[in-house]
This record gives sequence, structure tokens and C-alpha cells, in this order.
Amino acid sequence: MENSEVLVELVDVTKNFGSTKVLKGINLQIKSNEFVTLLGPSGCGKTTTLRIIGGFEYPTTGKVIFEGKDITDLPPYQRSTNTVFQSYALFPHMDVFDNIAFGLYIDKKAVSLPYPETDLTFFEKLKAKRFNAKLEKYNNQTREPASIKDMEAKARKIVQEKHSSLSQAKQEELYNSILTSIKEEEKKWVESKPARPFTKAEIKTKVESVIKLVNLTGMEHRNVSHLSGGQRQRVAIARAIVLRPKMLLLDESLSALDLKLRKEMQYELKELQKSTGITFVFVTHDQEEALTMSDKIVVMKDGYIEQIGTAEEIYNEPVNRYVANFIGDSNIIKGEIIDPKHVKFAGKTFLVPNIKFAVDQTVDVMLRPEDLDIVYPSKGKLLGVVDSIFFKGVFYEVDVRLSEGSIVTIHTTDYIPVGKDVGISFDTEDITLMEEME
Amino acid sequence: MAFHVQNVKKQKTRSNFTFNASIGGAIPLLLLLTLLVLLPFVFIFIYAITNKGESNYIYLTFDNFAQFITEPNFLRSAGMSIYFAFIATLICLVIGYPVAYFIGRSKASLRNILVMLITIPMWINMLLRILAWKQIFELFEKWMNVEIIGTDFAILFGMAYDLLPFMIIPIYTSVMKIDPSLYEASKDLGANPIKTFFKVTIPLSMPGIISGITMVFLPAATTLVVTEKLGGGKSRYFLIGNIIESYFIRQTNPYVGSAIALILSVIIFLVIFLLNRLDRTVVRDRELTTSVKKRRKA
Repeated sequence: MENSEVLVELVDVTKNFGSTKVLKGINLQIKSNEFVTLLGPSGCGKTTTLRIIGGFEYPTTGKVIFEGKDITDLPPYQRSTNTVFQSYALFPHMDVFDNIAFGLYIDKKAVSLPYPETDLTFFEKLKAKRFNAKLEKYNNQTREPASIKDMEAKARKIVQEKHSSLSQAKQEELYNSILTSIKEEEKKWVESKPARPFTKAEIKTKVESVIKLVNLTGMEHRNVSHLSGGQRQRVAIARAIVLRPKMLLLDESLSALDLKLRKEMQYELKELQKSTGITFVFVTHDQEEALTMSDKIVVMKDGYIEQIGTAEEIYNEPVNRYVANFIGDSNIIKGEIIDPKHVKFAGKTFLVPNIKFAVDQTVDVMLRPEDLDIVYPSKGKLLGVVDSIFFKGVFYEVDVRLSEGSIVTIHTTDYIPVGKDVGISFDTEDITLMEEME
Repeated sequence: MAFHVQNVKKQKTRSNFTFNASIGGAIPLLLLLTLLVLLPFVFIFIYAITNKGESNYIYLTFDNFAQFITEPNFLRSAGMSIYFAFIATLICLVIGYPVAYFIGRSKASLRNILVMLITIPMWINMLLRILAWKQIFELFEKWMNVEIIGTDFAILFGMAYDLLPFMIIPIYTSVMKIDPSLYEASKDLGANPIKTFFKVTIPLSMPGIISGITMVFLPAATTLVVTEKLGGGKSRYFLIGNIIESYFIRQTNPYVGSAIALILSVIIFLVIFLLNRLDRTVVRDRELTTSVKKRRKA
């Protein structure tokens, strides 16, 4: 997170499939080295957002900006993102090694380094001499890649020296055309740098190191159809990260695994993200998964982004009832702002410092079940009768019917019989006020 | 066809332990196969190693085979059959693959219509279709004053026209089976559409290509209608199928005809065997494993 430059940015992205609007205006910035989760129920547009970043769908309107460049119209094979598909999409006609090596093998302009001296196949030896000579010739040119500033200065200089007699507007026009031609020339020069594919030996080393990273040692030559779900997923991840993408897109990649394996993979993914430094964008409908892994959570609903924040922010300060309900359990009670320091709900007035809402406005008041305690009625801030109690393992889930009718859920470790009069106590700082949803 | 029989035999030995359940149900099929496949073979084999003497007695001989090898016409015909079949198969593949690919990747509703359009010509008798083309060619010959019937073009056209659906249908089936997310994965990993085609689509549709080639090459190599109707009576187009036919029907000498048919069967068997080996090495044991799984489930 030290490096906080924006890697990818979605600007007003919308997407229609026929007449259905799937995305209705997404604005999102993802920084380098972040683990970002797109969270929402199925049909909220999270996968479509991911596919737009990956290049599998093109937005109806809006732009996708990657490292400052507009890549909206670039196909997936020209983007420096890689995807782990929900179904993994491993090539059934290749073994584990070949699946992982696929991208390395495909890239014919992978590196601009001379061929190594050793470990070359016959054909590589044939090409090596000519390529190395060409590269050396290129590197011996005394030119350095020019920065944008240099190019602007150069264009400005040409205009001032040769065309200073022209009018201001004419000069500006000329300057722009000269600048674009200089930029194009520069681009051509940079692109003319000789590049070669990886050698067989290089591919082998890379694949082997990534196989070790994802714990698949010894399975290099297994047929992918003989692998378990977890192993397939590892192959899919290895296949993507071996290419060292700037961004890895994971589409509900854990949902096909069983609970225990999923938990394990959550930690492994997080570790992998830290060790590789690749930005991960993860799509899930599982709020727990999102909370465990993410640096940043993007909560989506019906093609809109509802809230962006860290796990703590989303959990402790949800912007509305929807986010509060989606992440964790919550009690939501209608409330009213009495004055800048007091809010009234469930028939009582509470002191809440720093209220951001206007006086007389109705709000949603959220209380997390684990912040509530059951006490003797005399000590309670709210009074009610136990309506039901369920054993949940670590705690009992107690539903208490308040005197004014609404039901509040409380997580407690004590057993309280149904029908008992109880008081509910909580710290006023656990009261969260949210904008009312229509 | 020899292959089917072999498979049945294999299964018989494999399911030794559950004799009643699996063999009991297969008996009608086994009888039918014996009747339809094995019996003709036995007859052809008997004919091939016998001949009729002067006073109508039948004796054992290998002269029929010897005649095939010594008669240069036979060898030439066999060579020409394979040559024409090879080119016709190539034409079918070049035309059929793109069509099959397009059908395989189109939506289900469109796909059904297209498959129907491909198969509709097969509703009409093959002889009639070839005769129709003969008349069309004759019309063209009159109008444009060119020779069409009795050229390589006419023969290859007839073969390719007739057998194209047999190339398209297996390929389209295998293209349809490819998971579309594999194309996306390939693009995602840096392969442009051309590379994706050669690295993903072609290898995964290989089973379809192999069976398409088999289903076009074999009938093309043994055709007699196309060569007879569009060959213009030239000896160049008197292929192996026509030779067999003439021995059986015109010369009423089924002995030599059977020997030629038997030799052809052996050649065909070898071709199928080699193609199957190729199929297995190209797509590894993908198909094999699915069939093993199916068997386990059953």
C-alpha cells in the first residue's frame, strides 16, 4: 500500500445487454498493490465490471483507464491483466505444465534481452546469433528514450525558431502537429527494440518456480481433468501469475470449493498477493470472504456502487441499510434526529456526538447484534420480552420484542428463557446512523 | 466396420464378472452385428479364396489375389482412388471446417436451422443428385463450350459435394463442445484470435476432424456413382469401386471381385487404425478418460 498510484480507473462506465442495464455508472479507482473485492449479490454487475477491466466486455459508455492510458477498446490479449475464471477454463488438451506455460509460450516478443549462452535448443541457437547482434546494435545507439517534457520542449523550440512570424493560433496548431509527429517517431523507435520469445529453458524455470509457489510440485505432467477442484484452481492462478500481470482478476474463484479448502485458499491468496505485489481484484458474493482478504471492498447493488472502503469502514460505518444488511447481521430501527446531538428511536432519546444529518430528518439506526447486551430490565436502555432463542455454537441468537413492537437480535453467550422481560444495554458509540433508503 | 466387431468383443471380455447383466442385454445386438457385419465378410472371404472350375466345381486358390498384384490396371485404379479421395477430403476439410466452426459457435436456434440446411440435400437420393449435376454440367458445356464431364474437376466436385455434410457434422459437434471460456482464457493469456485458433480450437476439435476425414475419405475412395456418371466413360475415372462392381455384375466373377474388396477392406482398416492412433496422440487421452468415466458411471 506504500505505492499508491492509481493503476486502473473506471470512469462513468455503463453497460447494457440488450435493453437490460447491467451497469448504471461505475466510477472506481484501483491502486497498485491493493487487494480489492467487488462484493454484491448475484446480478449486481460485479462480474460484468471485472470483465470490462479484463477486456471481455466493452462498456456501452464510459472509459477504462489503465496506468493513465485509455484502454477501453483494447482486446484482452493486449492488456496487462490476467484472469482466473470461475470455471478455471483450463485447457483440457494440455497437462499442468503446458497450461501454465501457455502464455509464456504464446508471447513472441516477451523480452528484450540477449539469448543466454547455454541451454538453447537447436532452433534457438539458429536465431540467437542474429538476434543478439541486432539487439547490441540497437543498444549501442546513443539515444535515450525521451520524456514527454523533452518532446514538448523540442516541439516548442522548432515552432519558435522557424515559425515565430505566424499568428498565435497558427503557432499553437503547428506546435500540436509537430508534437504528435515527434511522439509517433519516439514510439516507433521504442517499439523497434528487438524482442524475442522466452527460450524453452527459461519457460521451464519460470513454470517450475510458480508451480512451487502454488504448491503443485510433482504434478507437472498430470492431466488437468484428473485434478481436484483446489488443484485446478491453483493451476488457473499459476497460469495467470506466471505472466507477471500488473493486475490479477479473480471471478468468484473460490465459490466452487468446499468450506475448509476455501478458507485455506483465502489465506493463500492473500499471502500470494503480498508476496507477488500484484494487484488483485476479486469478485465474490460472500461477505466473509471479502472481509478476510480485502484491503478495499466495493459493495455493489443493481449496477451501482453503494460504498467503497476498508473492511472496518464497511462494517462499522455502512452508508445505508443495504450495506449494513449485506455485511454481517444488523438491527435497523427507524430514528429521528431531535437536535444536533440527539437521536430518537424505539421511543427513547440517545446522545450521539457528531451527527451529520439535519435536525428533524428521519434516519436508519443500526445496532450490531454483538454490540448489544442483555441486562436486568432496571439497567436496560431499551426494554422488551424474549421472543425466541437459537443456539448458534459460539453464541445464542436471541430475538427480543421491544415494547414498541419491533424485534431486535442480540448475540449473547447466556441462555435466556423465552418470555422473560429483559433490558438491552449498549454503548452509545455503537449507534450507527445511516441515510434512509427509499 | 471391422472395428465395431472388435469393440464388442473387447467389452465381452472386460465384463466377465457381470455376465448376466451386460451380456444378456447385448445378445440381440451381437446377433444383429454378426448377421450384418460378420456374415458378409465370411462370404467375401470364402469367395476371395475360391474359384469356379470348368465343370462347375469350386476349388481353393490364391490366384484372385495374385491377379490383383500382377494386373497393372488394378494397382493404377487403387492409386487413383486414393489420389482422388485424398484431394476430395482436403477440399471438404478446407470448405467444411469454417462452415462447421461457424455453425458450432452460433446460437442454438440458428444452429438447428443451419444443421438442417446442411442435411437437407441428403434427403434426396445420392444417385439423383449426381445425375442432376450431370445435367447441369451438360447445360454449362453447351452454353460455354467447355468440357466438364469427364474431367478431374467434375469427379472432385461430385465427391466433395456429396460428402461435405459428413465432414461438417462431426466437426461442428466437436466445436460446439468446446467451452467458450477456453477462448476467453486463451485471449486473456495473450493469444490473438489466430493463435487461439491454432492452439485451442484446432486441437480441441481434432476428434471431429479425424472422424470427418474418415467419413469422407472412405466413401470417396470406393465411390462408383460419381465416377460412373461424371467420369464420361474415361478409363482414367474407372476407379476401384467401379472395378469391383464390374466384376460382380458385368463379368459375373465374384471371386476376383471379392479378393479386391477384401484387399480394399484391409487398406481401409489400416487407414482407420492409423487415424485413430493419430487422434489419440494429438488429443492425448482426453477422449479416453471421458469414456472411462462414462463406463464407471454406468
